[in-house]
Amino acid sequence: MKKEVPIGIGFLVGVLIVFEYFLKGLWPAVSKTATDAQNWGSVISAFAMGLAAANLIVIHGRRIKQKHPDAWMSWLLFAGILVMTITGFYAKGTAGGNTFSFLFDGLYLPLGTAMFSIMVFFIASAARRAFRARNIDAAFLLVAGVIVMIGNAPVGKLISPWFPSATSWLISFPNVAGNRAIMIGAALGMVLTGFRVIVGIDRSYFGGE
Amino acid sequence: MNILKRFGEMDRRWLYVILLVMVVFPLLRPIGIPIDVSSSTAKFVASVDRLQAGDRMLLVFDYSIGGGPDVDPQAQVVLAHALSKGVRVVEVAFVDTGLNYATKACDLWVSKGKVYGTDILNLGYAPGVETAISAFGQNIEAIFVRDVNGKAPSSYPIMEGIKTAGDFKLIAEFATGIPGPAEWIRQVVTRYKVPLACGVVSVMGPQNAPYLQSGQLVGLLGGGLKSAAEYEIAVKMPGAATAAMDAQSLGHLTIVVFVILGNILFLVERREQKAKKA
Amino acid sequence: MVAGKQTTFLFFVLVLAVAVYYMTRARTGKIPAIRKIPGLDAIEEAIGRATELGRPVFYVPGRTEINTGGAAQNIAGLEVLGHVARMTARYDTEIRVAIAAANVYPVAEAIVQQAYLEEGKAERVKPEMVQFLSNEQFAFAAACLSIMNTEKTASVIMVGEFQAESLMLAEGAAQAGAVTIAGTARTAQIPFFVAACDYTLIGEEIFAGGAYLSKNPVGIANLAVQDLGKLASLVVIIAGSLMVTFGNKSMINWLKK
Repeated sequence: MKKEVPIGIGFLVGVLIVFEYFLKGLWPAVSKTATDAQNWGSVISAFAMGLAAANLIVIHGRRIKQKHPDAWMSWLLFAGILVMTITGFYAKGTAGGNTFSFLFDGLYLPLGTAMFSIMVFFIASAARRAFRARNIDAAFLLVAGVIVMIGNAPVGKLISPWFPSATSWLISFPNVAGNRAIMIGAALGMVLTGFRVIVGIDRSYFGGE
Repeated sequence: MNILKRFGEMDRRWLYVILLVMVVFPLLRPIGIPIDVSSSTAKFVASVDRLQAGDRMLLVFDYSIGGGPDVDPQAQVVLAHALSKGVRVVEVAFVDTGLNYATKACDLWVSKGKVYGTDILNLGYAPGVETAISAFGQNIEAIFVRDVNGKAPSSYPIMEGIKTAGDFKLIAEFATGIPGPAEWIRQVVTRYKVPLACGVVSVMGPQNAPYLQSGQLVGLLGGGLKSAAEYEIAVKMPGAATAAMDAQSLGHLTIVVFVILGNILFLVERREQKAKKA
Repeated sequence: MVAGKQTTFLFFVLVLAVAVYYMTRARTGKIPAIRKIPGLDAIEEAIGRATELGRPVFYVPGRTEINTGGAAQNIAGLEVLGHVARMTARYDTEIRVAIAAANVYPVAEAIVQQAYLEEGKAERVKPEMVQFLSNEQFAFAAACLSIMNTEKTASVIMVGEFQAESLMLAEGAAQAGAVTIAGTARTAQIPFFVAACDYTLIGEEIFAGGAYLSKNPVGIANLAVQDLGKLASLVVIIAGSLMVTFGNKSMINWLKK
């Protein structure tokens, strides 16, 4: 039953959603059930966060217990979880002026923004190390990349009006063609993966063979 | 040649310093490089311009903190443009951090005199990503039972006659990942035929260009901060995005120089190796 | 039938019918031949490298949740994880799996446990093998970089749906001295992987991962169906383009039905 029940549930819900997508309006009760199933999916996702939090607590708890050299970071993690949870409960949404809002705006937002900004340094490092014209394909990628980088910045038009035009052409034609090709292939892959999961051929999602 | 070799062997932190200087300098001493409005941005502007005073528009804050600096200026200028025309805006978020941006924007415009519940409304955040969007499309109040102030959406004048996503005149979605334009096209545009215009981070621009070409999007701000600057110029509301364009220009040029130097070095080294083998 | 979906439904049913036909044929031993995929072949080498060096393999099965549009990519990533976990169990190599989505964590944990059980090494499973790091994008990326550097991972394998953190992970792995194999169907991130990784799986190659590595006949049959589907799309695109060029919109009108 350990394998049959998840496969059965997957089959029923999968068929329901596919049916609702194509035959919506034919049987209103089916549409409503499909919507409810999707809402249950949202609720289950929220509960899965509890499992993930438990994993975090176990791993970092062990680090603290074993006096790992980086245990202070685990303490910081627990402190962060506690402070944000407690202040979040007492806050009224993210209305300005309360502690949760202060921590979110003053700590969480700048940290996330800073991390995204650090990407530019990774790009600089990759630009020197990896963006090399090793073969003809890489050369095409490189030339297109350089043209689009210059054309996408306002300075591109100052250097030459050709850059924005070339950028627009590259994005509108070769890029769209390549994207569509990959999208079509990926979409077919997704349909078949979904089919395998729905009918129970693919059981990797619950650890089965 | 020695300079090239030194460039190749240089500690990467020196590259970071060079890049930092090139990006910070124009923020302190603006250069004033002119900005042109691209056709995809112009289409987005036109789609908002077509709205009449009193029309309802849905503004979706689907962006995370990391991409916020790229996409938030887009959302802010579109919101300002719409409200300046008398368009009424309903805000939602399907990304948890999007709620923060939605709330800030709503509070800002209420403090400027807009009436909450009549001119602007914040329905809050719904978890579940694409499943939530699909359910939202069918029945808004099934997903957003209450707004951020705890009241039923239908109790507000702005929501009169709005039951499904198809009841809005325009949906403007701003995204940094998932959910993004593809999810909204699949779940809302295909089903309800409502016009959708999107703003995304620059790295997502090319992948969403096919949707603009096929007409599934009526407008696309696909260049991140640059698109926000273009929109600001187009609607004559210059702001933070316009101010940052000089820094972006020099930053791009610096990366291109690194790429070109790296490739020249690579070609020189390959030639030397071939000569040694010969 | 919902208006505007009739042709889509027809294609959908055709694809599934062909899939059933090929899967039935595969069960009788008629397995289609597929080309070599260097990125997938390199996985065994990468794990071998980690085994020789005595350092862990680091695996990331994508970053998005399993109930989003990226679910198929997540499942593809989890299929490859199953294979990688079996190999690390067989060769007694350490594995670290980093999870960004809460609802992927129990699935990944079950897959790794199952793999070690099948290899008779169930006692070697520990909580550190599969870790939920963060669902916040760059917190996750920072945590991955930290693991790669502190644990000196020898090989980094990333298969699934990724977003902006892809370059950070790929370049970070390269800076940590690891061999990198990465694959995604998210077109915005493919260029970063192509540029920064040693081996890349592009687009639908990630969906081939599970079948290719396990040599499962039914899975391989699915790959053949994917290719036939692409061929059919190509025929429709060429025919439709030619017809529209000569003023005939009947193909477009039929596709819109």
